[in-house]
Amino acid sequence: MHEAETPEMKNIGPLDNSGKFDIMLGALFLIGVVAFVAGLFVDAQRAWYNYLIEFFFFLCIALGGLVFAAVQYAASASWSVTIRRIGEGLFSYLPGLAITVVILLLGVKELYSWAYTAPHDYFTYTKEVYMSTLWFIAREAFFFALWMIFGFMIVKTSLKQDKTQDPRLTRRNKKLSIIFLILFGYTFTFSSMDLLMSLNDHFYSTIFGVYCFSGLFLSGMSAIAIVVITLKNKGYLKNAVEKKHLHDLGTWMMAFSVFMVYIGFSQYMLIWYADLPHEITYMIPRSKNGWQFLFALLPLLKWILPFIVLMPEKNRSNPKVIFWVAIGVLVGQWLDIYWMVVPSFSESFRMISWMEIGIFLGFFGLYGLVVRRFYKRHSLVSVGDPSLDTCLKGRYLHV
Amino acid sequence: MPNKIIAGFIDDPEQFLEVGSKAKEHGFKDLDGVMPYPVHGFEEALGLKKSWVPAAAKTMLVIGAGLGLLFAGWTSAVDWPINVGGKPLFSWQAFIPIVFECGVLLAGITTFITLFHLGRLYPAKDPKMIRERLTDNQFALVIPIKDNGNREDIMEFFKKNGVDDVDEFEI
Repeated sequence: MHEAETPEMKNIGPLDNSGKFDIMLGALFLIGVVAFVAGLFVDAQRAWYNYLIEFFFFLCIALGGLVFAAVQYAASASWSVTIRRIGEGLFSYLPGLAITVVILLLGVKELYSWAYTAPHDYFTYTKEVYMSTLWFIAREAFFFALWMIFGFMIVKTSLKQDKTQDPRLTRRNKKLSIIFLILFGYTFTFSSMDLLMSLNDHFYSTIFGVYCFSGLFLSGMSAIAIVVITLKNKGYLKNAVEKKHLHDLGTWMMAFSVFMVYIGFSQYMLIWYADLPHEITYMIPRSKNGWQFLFALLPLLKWILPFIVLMPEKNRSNPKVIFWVAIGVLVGQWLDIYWMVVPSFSESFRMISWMEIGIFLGFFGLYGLVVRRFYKRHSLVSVGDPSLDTCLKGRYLHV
Repeated sequence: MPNKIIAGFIDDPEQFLEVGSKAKEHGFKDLDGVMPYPVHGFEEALGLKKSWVPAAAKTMLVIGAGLGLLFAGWTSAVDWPINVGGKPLFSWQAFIPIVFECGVLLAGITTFITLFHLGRLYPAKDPKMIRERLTDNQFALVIPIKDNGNREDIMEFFKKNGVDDVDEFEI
């Protein structure tokens, strides 16, 4: 048998312990704290909904990384062995998530109309039991605790394998991932309903959770692509993530952009067609008074851009193209959450102001700090994985 | 006109790719390969041109989608206008599934026909199988013999690259 040599990986981390970036990210975090506190004095509601937007945006990226890793474990995929740790790293935002969700729960009375007004019509009466502040907090605490426990266990098993090289740990992670993915499907649906859908207390849509999930997966993939390409530009991951791996990542991004627009259009068309009072109250404010332009921008950024640009095969393995497409998708994802949240508070279109930017930078700083801390401590590639060799040689392509 | 070819039979896909790229470097023209399953990197190794199936599919997708839009718009707004739930007669939202289906249908059929045309597959065609194992676990690198008769050259090339199982065919 003709055997190819395994390419030798170079610079697979941990990351350099250079404080320059950390200081910069810390400064961004402080800007965010200042912007949020100042925002609370200027316009408390606006500060809180911005907090919610940024919280959900980074939640999606963090969970997206974990779901990506879990999907790879569940399917025993070998193409993604070298990329998987990056996804696991994105979920190391755990402590940041724990702090930010507690702060978010303080703002429930400012954010959700069901929390500060008594039920006044059919739709609010029927939801009275479910939409009570205490029950809301209990649910969110349960969901976040569940994700953190599973994420912690999966990442811990993966890190343990770096040292022991024990193939049984892959089996253990596979089991954990399958259980996690099933539970995640339910919990994320309910969590996105609680956090975003209940902003409009009349609205309910059964596809809303799937819509949020499609955004989550797409933004998680984009974040992974951005991190991988940035690391490669800095000289890391040499021979570990090559063209063939990037090509597969790009293909996934393209595929999930189609999934996203499919779900998004299904939601929109059925609501538009049926014209039911409890559904159309969501779409009408979001398709007039200037919001319609933002609405039209979403499929352009989240579907047309990745779909058209990544269609030719040579673009799909070009790091520069993937990087900028991923940035575009993340901008689209942020605008999507903005579009889902803000029309519940303001009929007329609101431009992005210092508060949006400031709080975004704060979250970005916090997220960057926590995730960099993970990459500085652990190898960037799961070196103990039994299918690492297959991945490096690209043998999964042939057989 | 019968074409004469020389086929070298190889058991390993990686060796197949290696020999293929060497044949390209050597300067053989109109190379081809027979594989039991698709091997990645085969087109690049042999320097094959991109097929025009995707271009045909894309063109027909656009045409099909356009025809679908025209048809849906004409039936519901021009030929027999019906008011459905007070919506505008020409509501693009309602036409999207039809447009999508028409585009996919035409693109799919085009891909099917183009592929069979390019592979010269049609009903009642008598398939010429040069070796049965090619449908199971063997690969063949096919080099055509040109008019000037470079048979010796090809044979020598295969020998040099460790391919012993070489045969000549007329197709």
